[in-house]
Amino acid sequence: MEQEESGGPAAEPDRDGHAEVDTQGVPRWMAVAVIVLIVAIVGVGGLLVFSVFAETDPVPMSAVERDIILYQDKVAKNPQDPQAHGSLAQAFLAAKRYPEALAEADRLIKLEPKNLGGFYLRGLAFRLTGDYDGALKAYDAVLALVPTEAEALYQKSLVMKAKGDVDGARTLLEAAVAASPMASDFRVALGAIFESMGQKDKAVEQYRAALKYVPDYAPALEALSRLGATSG
Amino acid sequence: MGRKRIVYLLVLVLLVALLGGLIYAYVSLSPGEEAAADPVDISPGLTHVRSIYAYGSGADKLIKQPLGLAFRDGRLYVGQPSAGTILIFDAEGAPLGVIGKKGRGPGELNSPAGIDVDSAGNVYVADPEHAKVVVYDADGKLVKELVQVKYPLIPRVVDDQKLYLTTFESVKVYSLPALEELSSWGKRGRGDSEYDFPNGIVVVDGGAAVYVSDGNNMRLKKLNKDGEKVWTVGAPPSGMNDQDRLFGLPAGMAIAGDVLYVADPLNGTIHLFRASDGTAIGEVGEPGIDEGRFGYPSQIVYMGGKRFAVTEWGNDRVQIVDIDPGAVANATAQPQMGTPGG
Repeated sequence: MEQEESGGPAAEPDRDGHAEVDTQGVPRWMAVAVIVLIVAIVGVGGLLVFSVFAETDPVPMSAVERDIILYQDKVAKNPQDPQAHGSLAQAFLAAKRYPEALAEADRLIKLEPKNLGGFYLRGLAFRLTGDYDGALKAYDAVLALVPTEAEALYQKSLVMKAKGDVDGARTLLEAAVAASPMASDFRVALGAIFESMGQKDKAVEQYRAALKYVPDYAPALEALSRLGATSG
Repeated sequence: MGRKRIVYLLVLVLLVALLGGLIYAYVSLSPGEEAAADPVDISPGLTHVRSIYAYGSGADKLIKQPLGLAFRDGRLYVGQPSAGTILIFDAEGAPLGVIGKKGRGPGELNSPAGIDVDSAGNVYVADPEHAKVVVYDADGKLVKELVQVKYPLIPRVVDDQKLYLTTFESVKVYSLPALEELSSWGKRGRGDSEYDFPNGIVVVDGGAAVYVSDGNNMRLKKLNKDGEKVWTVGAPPSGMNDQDRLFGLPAGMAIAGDVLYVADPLNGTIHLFRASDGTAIGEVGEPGIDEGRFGYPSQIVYMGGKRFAVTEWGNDRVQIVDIDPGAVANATAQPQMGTPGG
């Protein structure tokens, strides 16, 4: 490589006559490629930096994203507004952003320790993440405030059932039905428990009771049809 | 191979790797098209494509109770009475700009209820609460105002020659660009040639056929070039609880081929009729807040193909949907919902 050491005129063919070399003995295409790559890197790097820093807040593409923006704004404007925290928690739940939903529910509870809504939100967030113990604690907190709160008994029964404690779920549902005998969904849930325990007559009784106040309640009608029973 | 060549080669390889990494990072961070929701079928014949909820990021850019709507040359124009503005989007829902502002002065708006656009991009906005029609150029600068128009509702530009305008009591025709009144059809009432808040109008064939949705009279009319009735579908209700009425409330209209599409805010649906004779094809959609359902759909515009845009006053959004008239007809249990009258 005599030419490399001594240097030579640019654009002169190499020994095999295949490529041009510069004064340093490097093929010209290589030098050009390096320059092109550096320019491309600067360009793409610039785009990357722009995309990261230019638009931090995305345009909402769904009602849930819209609601989150809306309620985040309400919370930012009035951090002491418990309703805004509750609404934001619900929006986070709808978006399946459970940790943020929990955080907002906690803020609501901190602002209004006796607001049952905050505990229900906590219970639902825990339940949806499969943290049944957390959910039970949340519903127990409601029941500590209002021992006969039918909705909490019902929600707690759903968690117990999910945990496999059918008997515990039945006890809670019976209490929920006693506290709110007109709630068709409680009746149907209790009927389903009886059905799963093989107590068909008791199940039919609950399904029929569900139709007493909501005559066209579809889950009850479907259950009765499934069991081959009439509605009354 | 010389040492310098090897160094250059290594540098080259490193630079290629760096470039590849940067491109990967850029593509990964870009939101891309996948941000749009997948098409959703809720009602036979109706496919949700996407919804537009905002014209930028932040709570102050959210759409609120949109009313007026127009589509021209790939641009969607949305009236937002709460802000007194016209929002402009591309056909994909990307925001392009804002025209107008809230106020009582020249070029300012209070209730942009109806919008249309001519071929030069001039925007015509009916502002019923200020009894005027405002004309902006394509850059949003005030061109002209037509004032003292009693409760104007929906303007329709025809061949850049005429402006058809529904008001709460009539259909008026103006010359363009002078905006001189050429004719006025009807007065407020329930009679055959009368109107009561006609919230929709479609003009075809240079004005040879005019279709009007006569809001409070719960009917759809086809008129000839002189404003005379060709056919009517529906009839004024006997009262608020009239169960036999054809519409909940007929409002915005669009036409594609021989099919008329009429938004019904109270039913949360879109009615389809044959434009030629008024035969009912069916009703599509369901009321609700989910994508693919409608919350007080007030106006509808045709965007090409099977695609339409619908302003949903109740859901604070503009929804883009595909409507297949054939599928609607097949799915409609009672295809003859309305019978054209004489």
